[in-house]
Amino acid sequence: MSPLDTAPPVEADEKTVALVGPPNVGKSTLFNGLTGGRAKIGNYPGVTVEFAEGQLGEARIIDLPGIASLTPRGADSRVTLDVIGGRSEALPRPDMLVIVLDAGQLRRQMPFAREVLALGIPSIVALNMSDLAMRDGFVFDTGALSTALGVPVFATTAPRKAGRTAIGEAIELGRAAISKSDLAPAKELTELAVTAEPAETKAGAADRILLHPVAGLAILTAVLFLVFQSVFAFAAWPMEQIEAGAAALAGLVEAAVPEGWLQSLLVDGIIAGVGSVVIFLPQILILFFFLLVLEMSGYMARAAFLTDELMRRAGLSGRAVIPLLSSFACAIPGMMAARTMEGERDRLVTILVAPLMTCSARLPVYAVLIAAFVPATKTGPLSTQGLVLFGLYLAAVVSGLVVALALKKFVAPGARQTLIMELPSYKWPQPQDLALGLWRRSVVFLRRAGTIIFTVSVVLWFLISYPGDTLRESFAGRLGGLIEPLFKPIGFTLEMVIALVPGLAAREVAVGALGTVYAVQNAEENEAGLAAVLQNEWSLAAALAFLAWYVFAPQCISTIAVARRETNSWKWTWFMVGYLFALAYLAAGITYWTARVFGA
Amino acid sequence: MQAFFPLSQSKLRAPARIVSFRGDEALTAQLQEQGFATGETVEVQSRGLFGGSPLAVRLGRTVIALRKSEADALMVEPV
Repeated sequence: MSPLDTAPPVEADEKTVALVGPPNVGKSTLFNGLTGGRAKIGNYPGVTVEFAEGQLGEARIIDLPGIASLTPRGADSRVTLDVIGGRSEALPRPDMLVIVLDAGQLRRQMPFAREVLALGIPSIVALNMSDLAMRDGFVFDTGALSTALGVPVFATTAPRKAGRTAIGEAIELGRAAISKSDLAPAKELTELAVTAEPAETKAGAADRILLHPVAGLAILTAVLFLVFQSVFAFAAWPMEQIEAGAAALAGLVEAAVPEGWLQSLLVDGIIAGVGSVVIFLPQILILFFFLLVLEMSGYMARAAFLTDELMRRAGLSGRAVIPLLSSFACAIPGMMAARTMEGERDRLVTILVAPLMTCSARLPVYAVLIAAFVPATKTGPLSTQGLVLFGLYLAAVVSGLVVALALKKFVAPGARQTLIMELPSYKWPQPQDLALGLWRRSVVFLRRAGTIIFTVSVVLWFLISYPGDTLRESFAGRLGGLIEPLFKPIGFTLEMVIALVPGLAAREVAVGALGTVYAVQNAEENEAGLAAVLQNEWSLAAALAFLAWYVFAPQCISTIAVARRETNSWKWTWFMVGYLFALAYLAAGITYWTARVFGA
Repeated sequence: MQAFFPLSQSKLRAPARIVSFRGDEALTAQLQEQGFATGETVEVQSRGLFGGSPLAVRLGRTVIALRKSEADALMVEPV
């Protein structure tokens, strides 16, 4: 038998076990499986940008960002190297490593495994996704590899429980071992482990089409387009239910609480404020669903492939595509995903441009204004509202490329850029991983709605309701009046300015704030949704200007804080905030006056 | 006909064997990390629309995206 059976167990007292492996070997799925998905991960969905931490029995399991070698390539891989080198401040040096490899790619990944084993940390090797490899005709001899390495080797199947039991037990029992000091060359090791191999696989038929220079780009455009259409099409029903629920709740409160300030606070303040934001949960989940599917299926890397040359001409690194696409969900994971980039200058430009990508918090703002001002008709077979939304996203991409080009030219020139990126094989997204990702996103969104937006709604209700009878006499009106002159030239009304100020904390708060502003003002007729109210109250030119403002304005405290952390520089952070506000003001102004010329 | 040529000039879906690396050391090291090694067989699967960059290169069971300048660093011969 292999030497692992005789290896003395490592002390079983709160061991730290780290999963290390190259990118795209199914490490995160294995981690979710081992820890039952109860991981502590910041609040960030998508790619592994920080380590996730979970529990397996007594062991503390850590999932580290993927690395291809022990040479640092980007801030992300430095995190992993610091942890396994015992140089991390956040984590102790792991007691045990689980080296996760793609069973179907051992020849390519064995040098990496050797390099890691040579560190002398007790290890277990997992040949992951072995079921897929075996289906393709591979046959493995884990015993032979285990003997040759001197550490336990398991064939694992990340998603299925049966394929994880053995390795889970080995981790819990501390069966890891330090490898032999005189390891055979990688080539020999691979030959020992792989006893049968399929004939060279021909390229996937899917990539023939999906990576086709013309068809591939057309399909990418169509995919993104469909995503934005779906955001409107599929969300309508759940949104109606939430709206009806909020109205029913308001009715109950009106019946139960006597007319007066308390009823007004509950109905006009809290239900109108929080409700007008929560209603966008279905749209945000639909958007995230598609982004997670694109990411998990391996299509995201194809999107990066197809757009790389355009990105390069805009002065961005090809690897910037993934951080920037993630920024469509939220700029925060996007900025953090930029850690995988090697060149510091490339990374800086990517971070500075990330807030321009249309994050999901803008969706509530766009959606309410589109619902109010764009007729729900069809343009050909497509919904006009979906088209406008697509246009706003397109505006973000174009402005992002233009800004990147300008930054590269004038602000942050230089640096060699490489692409060299694996295009992972296509995989069906695991329903559990998908559900987990969406669940995490919902929690973040609802927590924000329950805390920040709740607080803003209450405070704003007070500031709007007192003193006096009109908005202009109230505290909020007087405060808004102070900065109103600044925004008058670009067509913003007092109500818009009042909504903008709390909206500085987070974009979607502005919708909640508008909900409260108009609910208090029109207390008698507040059955109509916010969109209907805005339609009556705002001119088309002002609405378009507001939309244009939102394409650019960096209205998110968290993003600014993360930009500060990721760039480690206040100078660049203020530069980012400054240029974005300047663009927002210009864009809103130009939009307003152009619309006025055309009589809107 | 020339025996060796850079991978960037290889025909679509024509297998080629890596004979040597050229270009700077850092780039060579990065390519080797991904599994490119002399003697390995590679095959260009697809090329980008603009300027034929990037290239999707099959290496064993993996497909790796390389920019034209990176694929230029791999000298290959037809198999």
